[in-house]
Amino acid sequence: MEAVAHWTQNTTADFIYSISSNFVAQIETKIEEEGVSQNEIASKMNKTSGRISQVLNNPGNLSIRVMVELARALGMKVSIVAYDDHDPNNDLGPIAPDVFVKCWERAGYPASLLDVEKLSSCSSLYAFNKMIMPTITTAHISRSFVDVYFNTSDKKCRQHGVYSDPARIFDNSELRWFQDAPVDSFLGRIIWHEQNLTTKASQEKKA
Amino acid sequence: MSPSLVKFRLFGQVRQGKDRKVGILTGALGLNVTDGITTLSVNQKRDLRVNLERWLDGLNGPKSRFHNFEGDSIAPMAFVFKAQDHRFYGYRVNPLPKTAPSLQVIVLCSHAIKPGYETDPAQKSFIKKMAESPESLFALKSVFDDTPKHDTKGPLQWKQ
Repeated sequence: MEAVAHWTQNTTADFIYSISSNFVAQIETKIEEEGVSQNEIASKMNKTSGRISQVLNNPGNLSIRVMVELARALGMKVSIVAYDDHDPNNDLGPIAPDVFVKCWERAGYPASLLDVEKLSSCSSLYAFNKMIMPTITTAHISRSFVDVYFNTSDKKCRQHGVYSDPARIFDNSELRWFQDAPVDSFLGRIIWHEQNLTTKASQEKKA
Repeated sequence: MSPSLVKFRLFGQVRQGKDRKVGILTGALGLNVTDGITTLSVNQKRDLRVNLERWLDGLNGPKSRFHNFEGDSIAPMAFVFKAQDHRFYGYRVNPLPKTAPSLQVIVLCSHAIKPGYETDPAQKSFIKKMAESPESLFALKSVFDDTPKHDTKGPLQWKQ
């Protein structure tokens, strides 16, 4: 059976529509999550609510300027990414931007290539955003340290902690304990656990 | 309704996933998705495809593009994809529970122009009826074979 080309391979306008519409879907998701009204966005963009509605309903004509204005009105940013997914004939179509965003979030919001290299050198990376209370966004653990990412009222923060046995801290029962813990307790728990292990080790050594 | 008339086919030209697939049921009264698609403008067709692919890619929103009817008293299995004012209703099912337990297939059944804020209960009843009809099950079975594949060569033998 002859393979049917992906619909975005029909015309460049189709491809543009797909990526623009996916961008608008990200904006709509944010609007739903934050409960922002179109009027609020319109006033931030110095445009009418009708114009915003028009823009969201006709993604094929989005300009980069409007994309940036929309994102900024919601406190977001825009990156334009070219990538090679080894699909030169576009049999599979463009990858949804949400996939890139999720990967970036799971990698701990790296802001530079140096951050990416640092993170990829960890022996294991875990995202805990679903398991830990909302103020903590992610935690990355390796054999010797933990990086906890959390939001304060005005900025995203990262706390770097060193300890000796991550597996014992992050077993299921202890994760439940962390769910309602504030950031300080979370980090305190790690330090406490580290001290505990050290004491235990020295006691064993003495014995 | 003859079993041979109701057919299921996968939606073409979109990225069907391994765990999520979307298709269309045709061949019986009320199964009007194909007709609905022909009434769409160029941009509405694009919207529908983008929204189908968002779900196929594993995304679960925004609700302005598609949503399920979880908790609905009439048709909790129902699902709707939107393309501006157009609505494409179907139901979610796993036709391969034995061989692919994680598979989700949306079987599109009907098309309507947005009737109002709430979905027409008659539309949901129709989706429920189609989800439970033997003809639909038969049509799905003809595309998805849930027979476990046994190794015809028998157990592996160690070479002496």
